[in-house]
Amino acid sequence: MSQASVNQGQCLSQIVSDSRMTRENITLVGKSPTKLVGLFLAIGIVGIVLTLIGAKSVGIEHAIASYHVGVMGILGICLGSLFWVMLFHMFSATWSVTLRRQFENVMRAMWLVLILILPIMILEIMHEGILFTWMDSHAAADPIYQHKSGYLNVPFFVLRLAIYFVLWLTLIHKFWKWQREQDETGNRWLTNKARFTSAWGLLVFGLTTAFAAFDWLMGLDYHFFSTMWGVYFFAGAAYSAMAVNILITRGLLGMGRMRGVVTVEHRHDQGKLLFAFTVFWAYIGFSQYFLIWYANIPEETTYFIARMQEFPNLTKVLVLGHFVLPFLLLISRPAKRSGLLITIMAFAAVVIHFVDMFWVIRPMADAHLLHDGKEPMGLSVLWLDISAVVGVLGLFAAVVVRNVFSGPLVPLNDPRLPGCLHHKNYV
Amino acid sequence: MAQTTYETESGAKVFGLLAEFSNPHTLTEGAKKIRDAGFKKWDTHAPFPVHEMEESMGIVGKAIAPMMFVIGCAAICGAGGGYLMQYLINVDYEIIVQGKPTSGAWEPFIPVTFELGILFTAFGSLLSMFAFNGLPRHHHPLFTSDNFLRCTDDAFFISIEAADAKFDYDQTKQLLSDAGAMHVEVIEES
Repeated sequence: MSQASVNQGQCLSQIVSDSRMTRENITLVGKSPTKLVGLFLAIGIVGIVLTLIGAKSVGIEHAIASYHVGVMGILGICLGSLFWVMLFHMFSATWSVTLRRQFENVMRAMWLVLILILPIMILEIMHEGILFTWMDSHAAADPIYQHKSGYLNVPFFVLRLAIYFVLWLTLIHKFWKWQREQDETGNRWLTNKARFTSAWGLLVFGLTTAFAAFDWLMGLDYHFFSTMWGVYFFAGAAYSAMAVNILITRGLLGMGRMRGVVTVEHRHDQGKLLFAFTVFWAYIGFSQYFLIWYANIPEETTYFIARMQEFPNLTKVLVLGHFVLPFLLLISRPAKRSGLLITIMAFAAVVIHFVDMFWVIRPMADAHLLHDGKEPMGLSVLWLDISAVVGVLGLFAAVVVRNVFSGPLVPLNDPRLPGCLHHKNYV
Repeated sequence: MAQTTYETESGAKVFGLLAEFSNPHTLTEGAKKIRDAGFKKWDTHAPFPVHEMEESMGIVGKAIAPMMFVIGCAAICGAGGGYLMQYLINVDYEIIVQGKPTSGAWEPFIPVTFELGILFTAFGSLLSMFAFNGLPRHHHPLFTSDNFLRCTDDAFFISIEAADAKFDYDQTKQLLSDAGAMHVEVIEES
């Protein structure tokens, strides 16, 4: 017997002998997801149907902008979860082992994002640009567009979409396949494989996330450009993914599972990262604003004028809700360890993530209406904005709940699991 | 009540007792006994961080809270002072750079505010760490023990100061032996 397999045997017996690792505690045996999935599915379908009605009665610009908010929001959550999984593998993190499975369950919903993003792209291309005005034939005469036409053209745009999703889904498939295999066989080598893949996976993730954000968010106004855009999107993505993970683990604890497996120590670390990313988002958001404010170039300043003048209160809500309040509330150690407060903050973080996406995307619909000589909508038909986001979120939640119920709640044979079960914060 | 002072045979004042333990486990177990006996002026010494030693010594979070307060104050002083400095400079004598408005514009002040906040936080952390640890200190009576030097290598110790209100030469010595010490030595004041 080789040294590695001896260690593996010791490791496994340690896990099996741990009183917390019972079938009742780390699987959802005896619970049925049908009701919860059905509820979310119903919410999702109602939301989508309302959005379709809105597209007829209010206007397609508004409906598609609202739907775009929802899809970009869940894209951020999926990508953020993929990022955390790769980061944990990359740094051989011990503390997060019992939390990692829930990140994996969220990132596995990426196929839904692909299905939901296709209607946007098909409609945009068919209508020659509803929000993506660069697809419009009028844009061809615009010198700014001519300068960017090598990148912003429909064939390359579609090709990039395909490349992003192929890379993301491949990475997700690899990590998930290895996880399930390790659950069954206890093969420790798979952890090393995941670590190696994370190294290049994080590089691929960084580039694809940045360019996807350029394409689908910054590209809404083809005059505007910001080299910080990719990082801004990433900051919100990692933030909301951590928040969703907190909500899922809190939900599972509420169902009487993961007792002693996810403890106040893990919650403390989740809180630290939630806090870190609210600060990081503010740092990037302000840096972007500051440079544009200082340089005062018309192509760039229009971005903030469209948002701060048309949606002044929403801008304040975003600054308060995405930075000031979470910063003040989460800064202290007892706050991060408090179950109730961290749950509220995580819920608020998911909401504010969608407000952030709304703030980025929706003003463009108004700008295009203004440009066509029509009345901008502002927040006058808020039900449509909410219905589209709730619809997308409902479908997403249904898929995530199904994923959570599909297997064990922790990586069963991870070599770092014993360490994670004894994780403790000394400061 | 006046504190009893103890003297060794040579007439030097006793600083305290130093007890050696065989391994980190006996050290933690010993520390729990000293903690439960109610001592305040005592410490444990090991070549590496021993997990859960804070709990065994009963000092969880006790040192951190006041330090955090000092650091928080330093951060607010740095950030607030940084902003105020720039604001006051620009009140009576506006420095107009690149035609940017100075009255009512807060944006250009943020980088300096942020950086000064960080700088003062760093200073606050470092200096309060020194202050709460009683540093800088060039000599400590424990260094008179040749045996104690091994605590950076392979030995584990508990030291109890004679200045502690609960200190009684014979009883404390007995307590340390009962707590699992291999041997106890007397440290002279120096």
